Amino acid sequence: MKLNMIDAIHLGLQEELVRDEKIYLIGEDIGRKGGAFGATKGLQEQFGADRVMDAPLAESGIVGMALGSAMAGMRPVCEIQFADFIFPAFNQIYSEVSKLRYRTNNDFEAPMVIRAPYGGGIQGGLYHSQSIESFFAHMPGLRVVIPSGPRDAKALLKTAIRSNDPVLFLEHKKAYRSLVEVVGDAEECFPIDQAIMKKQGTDCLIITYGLFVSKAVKVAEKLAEEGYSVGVLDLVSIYPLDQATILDAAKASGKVLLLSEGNKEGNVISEVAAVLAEEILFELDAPIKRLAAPDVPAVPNAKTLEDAYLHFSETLEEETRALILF
Amino acid sequence: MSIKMIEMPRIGESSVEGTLVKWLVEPGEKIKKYQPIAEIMTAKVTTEMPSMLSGIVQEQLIEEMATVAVGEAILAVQTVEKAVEEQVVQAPLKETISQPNTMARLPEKGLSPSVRRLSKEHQIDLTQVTGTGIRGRITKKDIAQYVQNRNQSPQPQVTSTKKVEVKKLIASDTQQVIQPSPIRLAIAKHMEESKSDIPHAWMMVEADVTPLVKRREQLKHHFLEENGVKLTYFPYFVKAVAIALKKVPLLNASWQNNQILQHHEINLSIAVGTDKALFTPVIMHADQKSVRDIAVEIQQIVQHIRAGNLHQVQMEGGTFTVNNTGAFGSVLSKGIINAPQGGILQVESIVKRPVVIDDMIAIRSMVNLCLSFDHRLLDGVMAGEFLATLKETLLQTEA
Repeated sequence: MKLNMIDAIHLGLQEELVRDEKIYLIGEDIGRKGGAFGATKGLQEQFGADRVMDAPLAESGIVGMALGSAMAGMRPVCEIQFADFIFPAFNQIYSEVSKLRYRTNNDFEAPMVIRAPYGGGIQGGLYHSQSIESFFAHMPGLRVVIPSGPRDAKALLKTAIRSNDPVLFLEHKKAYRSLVEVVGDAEECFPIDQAIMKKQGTDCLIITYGLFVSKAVKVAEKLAEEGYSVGVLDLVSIYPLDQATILDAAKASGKVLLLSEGNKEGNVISEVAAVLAEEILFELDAPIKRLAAPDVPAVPNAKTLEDAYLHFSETLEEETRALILF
Repeated sequence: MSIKMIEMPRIGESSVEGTLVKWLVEPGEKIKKYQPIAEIMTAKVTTEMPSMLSGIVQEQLIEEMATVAVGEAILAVQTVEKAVEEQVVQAPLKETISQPNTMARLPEKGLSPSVRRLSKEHQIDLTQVTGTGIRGRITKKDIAQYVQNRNQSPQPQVTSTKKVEVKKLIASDTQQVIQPSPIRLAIAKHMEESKSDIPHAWMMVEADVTPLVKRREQLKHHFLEENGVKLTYFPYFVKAVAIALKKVPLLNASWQNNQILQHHEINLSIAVGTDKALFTPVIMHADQKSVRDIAVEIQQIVQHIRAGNLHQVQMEGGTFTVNNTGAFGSVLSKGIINAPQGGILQVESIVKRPVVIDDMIAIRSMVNLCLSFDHRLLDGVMAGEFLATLKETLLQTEA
């Protein structure tokens, strides 16, 4: 069955709600409206208001309530309407959710998922376009998972829901409807702790995640016509990193280009660069290249400014070629 | 603040490397844009190199008298980007648009950590590996390819032990070892290439320059007064060669990559020697200049050479060389062509000799003109025609 990413996520949630009665959804406008993007459309009708719950505009409350219920044996899936709105819940996530298992010495666990659409390129402006993953990629006890397409989204979301530990599940909103592919059945679950080699290559490796994976694959295919062999690695797990796969993949060519939509300084890809430099310096054949957004406070609203902000991603092909030729 | 590199500049159209003769700045020193930072020598010319950056000298990356390729980093400078820092005060902006590709920065000699490691592991002499990366950088792939080729070749040990070692000369009580200057080395290299690449053919004619000698005798005092320059014979020969080349253009050409490059401009290199070196400055468009113009120009060039500030540009673009060997008393010599030119004419000493004209013996001023030419370009027939034309031109000089 071919689905776009939002429909694949919808189907994944539906299948999980059927499978396990302890699972429930909570978020702003997810019930009667079916979510800002339609991820939960019709699910309240199907499963009732107790399992698909509309919450007040209070992200801290959504996450805090989910955590409490998770401690009591439920398996909540929260939706933060836009990742830009997650920060009122930051304290709950950092101080409570991520630390629960550790501080109770395994007496309690938090089997919960927090879904949030992130990313720009849709003229959403300052409060509907940000890439916030780096803020959460520094919390042992919390996984950060980002799917790069419909099939992965559904199969990773299922694993996240079935995990007994909390997962922040970030979905690039531009990927919701732009990517379409055949998705797996109700039991297809992909590991949420493993990077995926989307394409093998011996001349250079692009490491990225989310929406940019499909862009990187396109560039790799284009460069293949020129006779270059470009690998593409999808990080999938932004935190913690799948270091073994990353290091293995990077060794093939010794030339690595990292791509992220977040601001460059302090980006999660900088951590990848650090791991490479620390572990396999003597396998590297070129300086590690990072392509990321400029260090400005937000993705701007005006089309021209947003294009300028995202311009770095348009240089992917030429930067990759430069790295190959280095 | 950021560290930026100043690279070996390309001085002159054909230079591929340069020698750093002397550093004019030290680490820790503050430098301004356009301030001279070093003396650089490329094939035959020494020149001061201006800085393209302002900042503080961080490190001299090469030593004095080291020769490096054009484009290689030679000086690290810590720069202060004022404009950016001022922006930071107003808003937390660091850069508005991502910087263009900075891949051009090369580590020392461009060897990456993986290449260093692999070359050690496989005991590879890196001088034997062909680099396919940017500016000939040896890449990890090049090493893999090299190792693969080596493993496939029947005698792998031969290649690794085949290292050619440069024999160092050893001084003794009776012998001294002199390290040639970069200029001497450049001349040696150019001569070696010219002589080994070009199949030289040689031809000599005797020319009667009696009218030219008379003409010059009449003019020389007046000329000196008017131009402040001594009138010698040489400008006459330069002019005559230009005229002859115009009539027989085949010699005003270069044999390159199995093709003939015919020059339309007649730009004559003239050989000027000092006790240490040989320079070949160029008289551009010699066919369009008068003997007077040429005389004055030669005088200026000689002054430049004596002052040591001949510019590389003044030595470029030559299409044929005229060499005034007569100046040091020679009557016969075989010139080495100034590659990639097609020929060189040696003008020997003018001597008075008895010659037979119309079955009568006369005292005439005679000169030997010796031509070395690239035999790939032309044969004796056309070379002979060129010399005959030259002879005729000289004889036609109005007395």
